[in-house]
Amino acid sequence: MALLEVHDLHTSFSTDDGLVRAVEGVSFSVDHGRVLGIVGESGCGKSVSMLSIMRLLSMRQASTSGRVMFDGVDLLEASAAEMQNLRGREIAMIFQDPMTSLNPVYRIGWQVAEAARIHDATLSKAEANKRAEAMLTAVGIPSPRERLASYPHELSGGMRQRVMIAMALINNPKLLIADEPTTALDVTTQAQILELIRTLRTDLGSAVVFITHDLGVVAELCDEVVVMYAGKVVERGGVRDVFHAPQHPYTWGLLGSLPGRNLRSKRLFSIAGSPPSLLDPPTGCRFAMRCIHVMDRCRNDEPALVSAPGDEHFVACHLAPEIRNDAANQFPGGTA
Amino acid sequence: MLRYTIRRLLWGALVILGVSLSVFVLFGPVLRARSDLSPARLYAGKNPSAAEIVQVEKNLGLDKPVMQQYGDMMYRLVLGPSDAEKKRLCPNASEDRCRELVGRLGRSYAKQRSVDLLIWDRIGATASLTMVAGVIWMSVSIPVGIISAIRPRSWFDRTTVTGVLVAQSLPVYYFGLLALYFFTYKLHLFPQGGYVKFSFSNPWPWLWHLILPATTLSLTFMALYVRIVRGGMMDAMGEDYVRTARAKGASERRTVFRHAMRNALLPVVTIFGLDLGLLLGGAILTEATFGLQGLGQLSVSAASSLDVPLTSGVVLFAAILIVVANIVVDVAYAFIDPRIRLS
Repeated sequence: MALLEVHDLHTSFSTDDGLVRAVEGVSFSVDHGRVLGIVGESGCGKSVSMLSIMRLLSMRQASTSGRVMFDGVDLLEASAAEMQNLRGREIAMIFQDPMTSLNPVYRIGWQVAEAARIHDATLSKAEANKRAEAMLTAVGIPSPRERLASYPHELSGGMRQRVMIAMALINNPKLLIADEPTTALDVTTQAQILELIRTLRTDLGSAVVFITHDLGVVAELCDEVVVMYAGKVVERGGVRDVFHAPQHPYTWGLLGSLPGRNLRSKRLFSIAGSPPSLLDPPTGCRFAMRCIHVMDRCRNDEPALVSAPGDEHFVACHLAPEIRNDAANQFPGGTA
Repeated sequence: MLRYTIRRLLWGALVILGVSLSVFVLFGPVLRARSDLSPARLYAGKNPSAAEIVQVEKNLGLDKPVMQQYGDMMYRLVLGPSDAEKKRLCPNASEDRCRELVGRLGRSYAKQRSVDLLIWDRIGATASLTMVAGVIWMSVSIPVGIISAIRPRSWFDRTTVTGVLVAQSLPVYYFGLLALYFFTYKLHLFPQGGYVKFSFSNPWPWLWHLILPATTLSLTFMALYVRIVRGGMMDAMGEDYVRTARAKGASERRTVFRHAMRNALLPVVTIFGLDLGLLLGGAILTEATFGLQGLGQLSVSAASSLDVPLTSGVVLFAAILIVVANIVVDVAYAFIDPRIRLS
């Protein structure tokens, strides 16, 4: 059985303008020690799905349904106490903005050690500090002993993200959810943080869900990939399958937008239009209004996920398989 | 840190200098430019002759050039009354007696006493009122603001928001009179007013006399502080680091009290210090309603009797308190907020 199985996850927010259906019927699974990438543009529901799984959304505004099985426990049914016990111990999470994710009034050491002490009441302050120091060393923070006494504002963004990673991994979690951990960092730091996550993952054997809108990162880091669009999964499969034989027009667009893939044209390719409003989503396929292959059927019937070439490769598109395969052949996916 | 403190102190001295100058100009030359408000005329008795007015002016030291008067005032403020001034104001008195007649802030025209001592006599009532009021409003506002913030739109929150609105729109004298009517006149629970000096052997009479006025005074501040705490706490609860705390597995209690509260209460410390400094200068309406002989009452009587040294003395004293409160708050803030310490 997979470590994390998400089945038909729905999350909606009630706003003054009406109900925003941010996530609609998302399903995927992650096995022990595997890395799943979730890609899609801003606002497609990637982060909201993860926050729903962690039950970190305010219950006052958000309502979540579906089934999220983690190691035999349905997270959506678990009690608040059970969730507290799982969060930070079995499932850890790191966030997009390291500048604001650390508490400005506490020392780094205290914050990292806190993650350990919350889940182990018998741990003494000194032991927790020792473990925090070991973690800071593991994430490559220079002179970790001195850094324990630093405040977040004394560290750079990359260093703060390392601290967040140290905090997340101190309890050796089975699953790490990384929500665009490199988006707010500059390019060289991004590479370092990615390398760090890759190494630590191999060392600890944790499964990782990696949210990003950077396909290059997915190709480098992930085993499987889920492509999301407007709150739904449009394509899902192994990284090789999705990169070598992408099946959904949206995935084609994403791959086509990568710089360096079509050097012949000077302008960078971009998908025309913008995603639909989730307040009042269109019937039929949600990508229809931006799709160059759109057919009448697309505007009325919602496509279900169907099998595509490859192992466990699925796509939600009405196009005939032959047309999809023909188009997919245009993508050599050589760098994947 | 030391440099920071020194810089704040120098800045404070500069502000006090500016205040002293504007106080001097306002109560000195500006006032005297109108003959009907001339203190010399007022204190020369009924239907004074021109010669009598000149004599009184000389006695009060108002005949000297303006710049010299300001210089004398600053000299007195920093070093105490000069020998020449002592000779003029208390020619035949002993050193001790003279100290009662004229102080660093001068000598009251109306009460013929040292302004320092007049202020000193009143500071007890005002300081007690301020302290008790401060304790009352802080111990109500912080818990109410926090509970309100973590349960937005609950009945508790709605009641609080309504209560804040009512409390902020009630004038102090109105609420004070209502309180006096019900608790003192009808129920005989509290004394009618006045101030009893604090004593360690029996602090109850002191507290008993202060409860109604302090509650009245604290009401407006309570409302304001509930709003500040509630707003700060709501903001803090939406911060990324609070989500990080939850993601670590922190309990809701730990998240609220360890992670959000400390950040939310930082600005409250600042405003509290400043408000205390402000109130120590005298709470005029509350003191008047409850017949507390504090600095507020003193400044009212000084102003209404054109007692220039006393009025400017009280104003200068209040200004110094505010400047000191500012410096204390700034330095304290540097200690409690790590982000300020190094920058």
